[in-house]
Amino acid sequence: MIDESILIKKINCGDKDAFRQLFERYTQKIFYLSLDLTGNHQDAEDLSQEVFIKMYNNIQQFKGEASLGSWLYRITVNTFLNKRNRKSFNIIRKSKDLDKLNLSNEALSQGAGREDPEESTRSGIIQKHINTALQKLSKKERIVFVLRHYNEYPLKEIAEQLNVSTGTVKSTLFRSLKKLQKELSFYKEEILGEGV
Amino acid sequence: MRTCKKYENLFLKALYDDLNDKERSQFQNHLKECEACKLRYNRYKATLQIMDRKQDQELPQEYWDSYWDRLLDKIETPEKDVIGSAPKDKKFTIMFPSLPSWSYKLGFALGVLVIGIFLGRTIFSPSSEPVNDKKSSPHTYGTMAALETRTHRFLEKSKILLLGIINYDPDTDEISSFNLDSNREVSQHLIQDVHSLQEDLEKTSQRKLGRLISELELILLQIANLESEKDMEQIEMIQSGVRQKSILMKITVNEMEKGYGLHKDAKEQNQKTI
Repeated sequence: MIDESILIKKINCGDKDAFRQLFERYTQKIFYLSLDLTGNHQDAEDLSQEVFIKMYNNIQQFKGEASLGSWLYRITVNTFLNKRNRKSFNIIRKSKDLDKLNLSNEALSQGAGREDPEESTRSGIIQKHINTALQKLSKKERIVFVLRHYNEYPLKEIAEQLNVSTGTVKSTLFRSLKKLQKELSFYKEEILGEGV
Repeated sequence: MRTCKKYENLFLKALYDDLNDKERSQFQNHLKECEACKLRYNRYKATLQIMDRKQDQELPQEYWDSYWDRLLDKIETPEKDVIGSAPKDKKFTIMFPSLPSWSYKLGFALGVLVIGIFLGRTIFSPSSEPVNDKKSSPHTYGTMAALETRTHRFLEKSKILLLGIINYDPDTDEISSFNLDSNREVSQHLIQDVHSLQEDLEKTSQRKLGRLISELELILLQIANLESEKDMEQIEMIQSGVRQKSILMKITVNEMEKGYGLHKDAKEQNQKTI
């Protein structure tokens, strides 16, 4: 596997193949982070592609102080935070992209492709509830929760990514946890009943 | 109750297994004694266990195959609203990847130079300037003065806006004292000026000021995107961002360097006469 720093140098010289190699290493990570943040497949694609375009255009600004992954996560978070203004434009794009891909969100979120239909339906419903609960969080709460819980980022690093204090991240995480608990209260008894 | 509050502060650490040995032992002992804390802690833990059941949706390979093509489409034919402004040299290099990028930069610089000379000779030649026929360069001085005034006004407006937000305390202030619509409107107006201001500052090599404007832009974007005056989380983030980057201090330092303040009125008066 070619070293990332070599690929970065090549991208700086306009090497498209090097860009593709680096892109392939991070596509799924950035896409799934975008999916957790946006909650739907179309916006996740828009967001993740915007991140890769920014990576391509600004790779010379990457100094290698942090890992490339952290840098891309930071771009994802910042792009997501500033994306609100372009909502109306994205709505127009959605139908076009769906036609092109011939995929539907419902099929994706219902865990299509599972063998046991009952299990598939149940899992699909849980995924939907989790996704809905996540979308009830504010953007910042979602970022903090997703980075901490699903990406195991330390609070200090999240604070650096968001340019706030660790205390603010801590209180945001706690607030998001309280909100999620409220949103998923109908599951809580089931789990507590199992003797947590 | 006070003890419970102390242990509530450890909930997050406990949930993410970040407690040290001493904290863990104290925390566990407290849960053994306090049913209320135990119940609350277990509820949070249960919530996280539900969230753990989230699965990444598996997308078909054809999706990933076409993802790259769609990305390439966007790079080669950028849609302004989606991806912002991509540097032109990159677009060229992706179309003609065989040539090194510096050759395009050089070509572009030469092109700009030639156009500049052409425009200078045709549009700004002495014969086309009927009145300003002085040996010195009043046009340049006027432009600089105008830029300084614009920058000063931009920073002054930003400062007033930020002071209002920094000093807003929901515990002591009425929510009505936080004029969300007005704050958003002012931010949006200021954001509209950012790009041209940065370009002009770059042209006059005022990079430090340019950096301050960039930092301000991020804060202004956050203010422009505020959804509610009750959104304390976002307001706190803005306040924290302003403090951490010492934005207000930088504005004040800039004012002092430029000699605003005591001499401001005299200076503005002077500029009006130019």
